[in-house]
Amino acid sequence: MDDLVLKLEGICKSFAAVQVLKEVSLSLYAGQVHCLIGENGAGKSTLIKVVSGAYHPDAGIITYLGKTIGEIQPRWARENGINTIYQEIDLVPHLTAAENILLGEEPLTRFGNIDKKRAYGRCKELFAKLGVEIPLEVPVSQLRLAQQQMVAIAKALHMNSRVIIFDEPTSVFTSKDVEILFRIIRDLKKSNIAILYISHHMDEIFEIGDQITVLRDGALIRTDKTENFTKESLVHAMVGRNIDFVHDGAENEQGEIVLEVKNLCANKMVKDVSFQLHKNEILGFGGLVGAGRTETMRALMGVDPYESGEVLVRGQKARIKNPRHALGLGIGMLPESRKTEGIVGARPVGDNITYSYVENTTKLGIVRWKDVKAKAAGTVNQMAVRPNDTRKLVTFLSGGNQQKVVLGKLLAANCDILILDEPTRGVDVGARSEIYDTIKQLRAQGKAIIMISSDMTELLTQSDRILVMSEGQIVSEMKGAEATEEKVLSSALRVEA
Amino acid sequence: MSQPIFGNQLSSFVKRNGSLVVLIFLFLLFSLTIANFTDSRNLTAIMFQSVVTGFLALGQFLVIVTGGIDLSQGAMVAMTSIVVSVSMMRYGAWAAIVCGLLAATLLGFCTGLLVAKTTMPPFIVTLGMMGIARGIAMMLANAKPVPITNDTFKLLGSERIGWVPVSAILLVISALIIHYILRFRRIGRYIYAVGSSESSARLSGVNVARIKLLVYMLSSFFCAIGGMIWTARLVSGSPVGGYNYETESIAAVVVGGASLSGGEGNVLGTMAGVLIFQCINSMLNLTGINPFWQGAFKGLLIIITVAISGLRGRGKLLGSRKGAKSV
Repeated sequence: MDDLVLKLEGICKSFAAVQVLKEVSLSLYAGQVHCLIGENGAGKSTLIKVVSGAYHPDAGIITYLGKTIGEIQPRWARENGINTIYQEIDLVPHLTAAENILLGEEPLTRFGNIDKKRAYGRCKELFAKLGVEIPLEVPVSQLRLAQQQMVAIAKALHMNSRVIIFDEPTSVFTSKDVEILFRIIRDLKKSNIAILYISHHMDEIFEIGDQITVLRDGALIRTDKTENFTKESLVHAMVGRNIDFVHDGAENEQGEIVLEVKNLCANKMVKDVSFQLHKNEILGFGGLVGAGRTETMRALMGVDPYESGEVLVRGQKARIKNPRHALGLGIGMLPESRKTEGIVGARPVGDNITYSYVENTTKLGIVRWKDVKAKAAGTVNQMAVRPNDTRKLVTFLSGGNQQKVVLGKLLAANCDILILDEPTRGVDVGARSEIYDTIKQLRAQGKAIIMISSDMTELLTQSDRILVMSEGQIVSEMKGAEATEEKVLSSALRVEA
Repeated sequence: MSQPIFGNQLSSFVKRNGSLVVLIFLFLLFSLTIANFTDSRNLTAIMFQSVVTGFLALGQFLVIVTGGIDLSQGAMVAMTSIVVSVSMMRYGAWAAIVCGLLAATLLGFCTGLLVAKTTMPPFIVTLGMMGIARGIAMMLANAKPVPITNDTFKLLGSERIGWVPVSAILLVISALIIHYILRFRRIGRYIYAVGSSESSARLSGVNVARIKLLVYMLSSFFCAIGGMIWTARLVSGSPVGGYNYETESIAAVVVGGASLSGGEGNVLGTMAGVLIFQCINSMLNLTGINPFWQGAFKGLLIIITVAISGLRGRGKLLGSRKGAKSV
């Protein structure tokens, strides 16, 4: 039964100076489900991309069906039976299910026309094997996501897969869809296909997995049979890294409540979220990617609509219509994707800082440019942006300084409620501590700060209070000084403590 | 899987062929309200006027389905017209036709190669090719019109069977062939796949570069046919003619229900798009409305169509937001 299908040994991969995979080894056996688990940024996605051929490892040996392979090419992988079912499903949206499954492999009639009868027959056969019923003649973009995934699986089956990789397949599923998927996976096991299953959901892993591999910071921590893990030991394996920053331990004195959110519901990603934010406070939002943290803030800022709930700003009810309205109320957001939503790279620092300010100093349509200039220069000084030059194009600044420019923009617009979404993403370590200092200074000045962070260390060391979200809900609250990585992760993964 | 009832089928047909419905509606409206609209003479005129844009639109449609655009079409028409008229003086009609087809297809090959093998956007490549083709036409003709004296060639522009122009029959045959290819051949399916999701198509083993090369070559090939018919009707080759013809073909394709982002549309819709514009032209002529209004009318029609299809798209997005995002 233990037929080794795919073996990875000592896989290393770096991007620029960052090593994302450190000598990771992994073995996939026919008819077994191997689960891969780890925190955000542990290297799971990189590893599966190595297997599917999207990335080529810097070092390491890949053995497939007994043969050593230098590096896998995507096309080769597909043709030789390694298929990946991506979270963002890789189908041609305008083509039908049948056309997608057989794309590139269409059966032909004697005259070279596409043989619809045989094509449909083959697809029905595949769907019968999977035990699902999906309309064949509707463009896949009109199918439900779960159905699209079934089509992708059918396509993988058609290619005679030996290895199927599932990349967080259930993140958008209802529980019934999950049941169907698990039944399919069990059937795939019976037909001796090796499965690599990536998921954040503990329950799923314990239900479906034969083996579990834990990655942390790009290194393999533990590979073992599922029955040798408990939920606690699994969480334990996932956490526990060297902490380079420490919490200052101080119990920060909280001011009055400036922002209160009651029972916010938005777009299925935010479910009944309530919290309060105080003056002089850094409120950390923890959770896994996709937990609904950014969505909560976007709804609150009026970027996306929300269905129900109440937002109180300084005790006043406010239905924030758009980000402009939010800015007027003194709420500013530092977005998650700096390059596309934070900065305007091809414009100078001064312009970027004053985009939201210009209006404040405009009378009868006339801008007082002198004032704008002074504000820009003042903010650059205050934020210690380097180089200290308002005319420099933002795109030439380092990530940390770009982030300071975005923060400066919010301050110039007189925001005193700051929502920081992943403030140090893509920022090097030196600039990181500078940003932390800036954030703390702002807190001392009486600002109220929300910080979404997927960086566990950052969350634990910078927050006065931490709210953990999971699947659109706030699942726990803890004091910053008392929080541990294990506590946060346990609630993010919904492990009963 | 339940069998869709007739009403469903009808509504999905209307959705897929909105331009055809609009064409039929306009045609009936004009037939009933405007004297002489259904005269055989007027219908013949509409057909004559539709043929050149029709060929261009056929090529443009293929390019747009793959997510590209061909701005060089008008210049390609002018170049063909000059290549044909110049070579005809020496070698006669048949050789000239071959020269014209070869010259345009060769340039189309270059365009296709640049689009397929580099990362340059089609907009830029074909904009450059537009200048090159126009330049070649000007050079060969010394910037002057070249008269056509060959009577056989002239027939291409004027011959009719009954009241149907031969060139229109040629267009219908070409459209049917393209329709057949898109519907029943692998290549056709790949053309849609490339426009709908290039990366998925590539991962499924589709030779994306070859598909792109093919559509730009076909576009230029159809420009050559359209250009020759145009030359025959004009009875002279013109290096300055064909200006903005690409905008007309793009308009017809868009009104015909194709999406500029690729992957959508059908030949029937595109042909209906061409005829819609010509019917409106004819209506404006017959009713004596100032012809200067024509441009404004066309413009309005384009904006309305795209606005309607845009709203439809947005409705779909709201309905299944996640689905739309993830695909």
